[in-house]
Amino acid sequence: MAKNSQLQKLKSKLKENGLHGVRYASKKSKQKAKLSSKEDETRDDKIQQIRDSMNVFDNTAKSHKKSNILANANLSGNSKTTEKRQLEYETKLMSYNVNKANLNKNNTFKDNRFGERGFSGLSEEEKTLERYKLEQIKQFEEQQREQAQDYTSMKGGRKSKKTLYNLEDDDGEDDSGMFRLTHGGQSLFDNDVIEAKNKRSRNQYEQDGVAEEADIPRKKTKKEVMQEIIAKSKMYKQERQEKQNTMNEQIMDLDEDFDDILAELKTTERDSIKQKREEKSESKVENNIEFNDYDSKVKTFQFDKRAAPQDRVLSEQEILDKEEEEAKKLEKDREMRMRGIFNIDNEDEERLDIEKLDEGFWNDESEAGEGEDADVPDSDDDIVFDNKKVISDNVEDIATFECPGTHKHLLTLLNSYPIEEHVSVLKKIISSHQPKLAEGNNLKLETLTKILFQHLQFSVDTMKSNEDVKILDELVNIFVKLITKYNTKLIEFLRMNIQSLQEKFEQSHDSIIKPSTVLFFTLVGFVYSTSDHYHLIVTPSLILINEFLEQLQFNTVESIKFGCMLLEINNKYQTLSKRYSPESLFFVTKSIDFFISEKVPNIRSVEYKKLSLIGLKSEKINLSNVLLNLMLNIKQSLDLIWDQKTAVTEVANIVKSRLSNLAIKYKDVSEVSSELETIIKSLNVVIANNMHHPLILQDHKLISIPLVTPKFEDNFNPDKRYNNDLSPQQNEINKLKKQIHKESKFQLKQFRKDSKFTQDLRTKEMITDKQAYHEKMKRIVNVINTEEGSERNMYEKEKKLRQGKK
Amino acid sequence: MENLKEDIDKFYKSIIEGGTKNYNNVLKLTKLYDRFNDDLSKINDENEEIMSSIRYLTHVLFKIYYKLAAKLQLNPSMATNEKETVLYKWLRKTYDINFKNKVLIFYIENLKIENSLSLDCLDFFMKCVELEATFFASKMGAAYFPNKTLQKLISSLFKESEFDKSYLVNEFVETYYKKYVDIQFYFQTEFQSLAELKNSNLLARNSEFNAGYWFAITNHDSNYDDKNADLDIFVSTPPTMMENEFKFKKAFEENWLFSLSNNLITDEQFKSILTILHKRVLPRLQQPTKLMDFLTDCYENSSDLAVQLLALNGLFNLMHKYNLEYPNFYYKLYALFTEDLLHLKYRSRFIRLIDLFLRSSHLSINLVSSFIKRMSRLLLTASPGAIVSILPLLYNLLKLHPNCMIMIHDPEYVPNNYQLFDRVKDKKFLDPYDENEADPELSDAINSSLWEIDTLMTHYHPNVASLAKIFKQPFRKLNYNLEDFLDWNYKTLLEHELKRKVKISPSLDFDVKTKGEKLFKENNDTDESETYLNTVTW
Repeated sequence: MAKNSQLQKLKSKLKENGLHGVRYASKKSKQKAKLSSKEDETRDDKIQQIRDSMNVFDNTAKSHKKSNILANANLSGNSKTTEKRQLEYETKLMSYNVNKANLNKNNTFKDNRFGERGFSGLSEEEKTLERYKLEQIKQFEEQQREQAQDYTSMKGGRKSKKTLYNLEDDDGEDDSGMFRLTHGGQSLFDNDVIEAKNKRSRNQYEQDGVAEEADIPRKKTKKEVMQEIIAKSKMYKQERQEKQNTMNEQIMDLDEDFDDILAELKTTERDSIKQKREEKSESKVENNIEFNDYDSKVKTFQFDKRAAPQDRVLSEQEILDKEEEEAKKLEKDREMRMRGIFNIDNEDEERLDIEKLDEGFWNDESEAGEGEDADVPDSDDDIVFDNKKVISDNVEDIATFECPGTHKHLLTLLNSYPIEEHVSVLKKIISSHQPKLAEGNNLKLETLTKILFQHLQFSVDTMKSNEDVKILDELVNIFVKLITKYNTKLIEFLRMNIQSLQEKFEQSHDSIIKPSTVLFFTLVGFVYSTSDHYHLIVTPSLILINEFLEQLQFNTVESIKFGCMLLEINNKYQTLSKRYSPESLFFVTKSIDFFISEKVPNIRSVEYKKLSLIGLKSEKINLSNVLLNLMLNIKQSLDLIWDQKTAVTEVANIVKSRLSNLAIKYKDVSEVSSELETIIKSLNVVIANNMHHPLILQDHKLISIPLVTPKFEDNFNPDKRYNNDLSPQQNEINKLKKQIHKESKFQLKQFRKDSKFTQDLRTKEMITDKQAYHEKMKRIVNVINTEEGSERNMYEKEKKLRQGKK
Repeated sequence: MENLKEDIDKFYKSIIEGGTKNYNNVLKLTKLYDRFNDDLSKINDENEEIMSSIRYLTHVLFKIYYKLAAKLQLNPSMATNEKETVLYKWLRKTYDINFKNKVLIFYIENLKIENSLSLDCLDFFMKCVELEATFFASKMGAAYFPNKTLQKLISSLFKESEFDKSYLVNEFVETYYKKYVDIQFYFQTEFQSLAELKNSNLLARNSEFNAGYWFAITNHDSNYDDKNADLDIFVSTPPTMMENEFKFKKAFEENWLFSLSNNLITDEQFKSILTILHKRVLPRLQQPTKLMDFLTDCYENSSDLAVQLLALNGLFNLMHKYNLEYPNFYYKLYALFTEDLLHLKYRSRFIRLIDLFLRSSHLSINLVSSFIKRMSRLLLTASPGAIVSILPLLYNLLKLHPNCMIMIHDPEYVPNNYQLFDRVKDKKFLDPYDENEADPELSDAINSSLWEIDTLMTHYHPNVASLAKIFKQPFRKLNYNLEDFLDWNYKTLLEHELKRKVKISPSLDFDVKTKGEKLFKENNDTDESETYLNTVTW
């Protein structure tokens, strides 16, 4: 027979356990049963079990998957819904009742002193601190509980992180004395207490005599040991602190008293000095001498030169090595500058600068000159000449020379001396104005440098070619010496010079064809490092040189000579850096065209002669000589610069076609034609050697492009949401959003539940109220009814009686 | 002088007050000119006396004729009887010949240097035109324009002449032509009819001045057919024919062609004509494409690059706006790229035009690559100003025609392409570009490479060098604005350099190995010491 209904199932179960249908026959047996409490207990258990098994939905099994194993370790796996509900209901009811009791009552006392919300006089920060403290306490208590468990179960090994933290926290809390953990009203960490406790416990054990193991000294657990250690260390620490405090106090006391002591000391000192004086006058002279002797000896020893190792005498090889090293360093610096890195010390900064050099150069014109700040190599070194002996006796005494302030001044000064002595006069001026000799000499020499520069240009323009030019070399030497020292001071001066050259050129193109122009560029090239990527003086000079090379009309011997010189200077500038100048090629083509043209008469062969700077304008020079020099310079530019370039074939072709025309014209002039032949030959060699491979300028590192094809998903599930393109951050944000949503939903549910609960209670109350009222009324009515009824009955009775009487 | 004035006044009074019998005095008045006309060179602004007396005389004569005209005595058709007709005809004749021809036109034509008298004569002549328009009509108030009179003036101005009469033409243009619409109309039609008379010498076909005069007359913006020109009419009742715009345009076009056929136009005049061509001439012509021959001639006959380029600009305009078919355009443009191109004064203007011509993305790759190659070849001898203006242009062209990128990057020669590179690495590359090929389509530049630009990356000027290096970087920039780069020259570059603030002291270098010990060599060859310059002595 199938037992389908719940009741039947229950009955059968009860029967199985012998709880149903068994009736104690007699009172006696009943009593027996009552006595056996044990049985009773099992019976209750059984009933509970049956109840549970019957009421399946009351139990909720927690899913182990989700929950944290550790957190739920000590909780039973199951909990009862009904119980929970009951609990919930009760708490709610309680709070409701409390609220209701307080409702509409103004004279109730609310204690706001406790709890966060209440008035506590705490700032937000203090509140959090308090919260944190409470949390810590809670944790500690928990831990203690755990410890107790460990202690009983002797497990020991498990040690949560919290304990680790607590070790440290103990220190702080103990020091501050904020709170103490107590056990039975006694501090846990008080050593005496612990010991006493231990003793007590031991005694108890002994007294009980239950456990024999109590006799054996119990092995302390690690935790206990640690705690003891900590406790001890704390004690010591406290002691130390106390000591420190007392010491501090003492010191403070002393400090306070120091003034008094000092005052006292001073008076005593004075006294002692007086005493000493008295003593001195009395004491012997010898004593005094001894004392002085010691002093002087100390002094002499102080100034005694101590024996120090001299610089080692270097062998020749070593000197050579050193020089080589220095040269290497200079070369390295130069190369850095050539590549556009100015200062090795703060390389990065300068590297940035060189890149900025181009930024906005072509579009942005406003580049206001700011304050000029150059690192000035300010040394007070003398300007020393190698050959001081040159100073001849003819020149007057040093003191008579004044440092000239203008070029005119210098000229008048030099006029009174023969030209051979000019150099020695200048040297004397310089040596009499060494910077260390007097203040302001630096400035004077600076102006002298400028004047010397002007003088050089002046004399090269005015000199006759037959005069002695050795003096110019000397002057250049002096100038070079000076410029090394006054390098930075001369920037503006040289820039002015460049500017004025440009202005002169604008006014009249031929006005700058002068020896001084050539000398200027030569000096710049000779003095400065022309290979620099960017140079304050060299770059503008280069612009000027090339401007002249491009814009001059090369149709006179003079201008061609001038151009030749500029071409060589240009080549010299680029000896190391090998930079390409289109204008020099342009000049080469123009000048060759000039020689090919009809204007130049056929020339006879002459001996090769160098171009003369001073004779640039005056000297009549054979055209073939100019041509030979031009050839030399073309060859030089080919070897120095063009040879390195990828477009050398193109350049060579431009030159070659013209040169072969020239060769036809000058085939009779043996020197020129042979020179031409060699150049054409070397051009051919260059063309033949150039592999002339096409350019690969755009050979950049390949950049990966983000993949845009969709990712293929195995086991694609249309219900699942795939958002692969979301970033992890976005994912995190979405998660949090979801959580917020969930929680707010949950809260809403809670609110609804609460309000429903209160509503239910209220209606219930209302119903009970109404019912009470109705009952009351009923009763009253009943009472009245009964009273009236009895009265009526009485009346009726009376009536009947009276009728009966009648 | 006083006598003369008194004489004149006397004659004047007698003519005005004396009636018909004293009319012969007009001839006496005109005879008074003879004493001045003996020596024309004396008539200039310095001889105040002569000038003022001639002016007075002319003024009085005009006054007399005006009075006569007002009495309608100069118009024979108004005569009521035979006697009057004879008189009127005689008066008209003296007016036409003795006054207009022998005085006004005479002075306009024959005075050599600029003077106030001929200007006055021009004014009087125009007053005559007005007078005739009012009184010479067949009926009073009828519409009439004395076109023959105006024609006379035109021919007097545009006749073959040894003197420069541009001051007169300018005066005419300023005070009459630019202001009055009827003058413009009749000027153009009469000019046309003069031009059509082949064998007459009324209008000079080849003259060194006429092109200038013509240029002065047309180079303004207040023309008959201009919509926003605010023009008056000169005569009170012009004929309705004047409203025929077609006729005006036709005449205008014919006259232009006539003027341009002048063989003696100088290059300067060509230049100025060509500069106004697309703005002031082409829109007013009925068939602008008729100018094609003129422009082609300009291009072919001139040796001036500027004229050639401007002619090409005109042709380009015709192609661009008026659908002219001109297949040889780029061929001709290509021929302009000579070695001197980048060294001319008008460089930036040229580059602007070249940019315009090559802006189309529909040009063939061969053509574009030829231009790129040719320009970069020219850069080998160019000034920094030219380089910095051409380089962005090349960049833009490469960007516009990515197929040309092979000229700066040939993947075959990338060393990482092992197989490809191994095949070619030991072989000498023969440049297929033919420099002398005149046709840009056939030069085979696309198979060449721009070594020139690579060379410019080591230009002596650091900024130019780094600008050249844009070809080495990835082509990320969309376009370079050419205007930013066009106005650089040596002066601005130098100014920029000199403005740079001093940050680091200029580095010195006295390396004896590279610089030697002295600047120059000794005069005699025996000197063996290392020197800075080798071919120069003190």
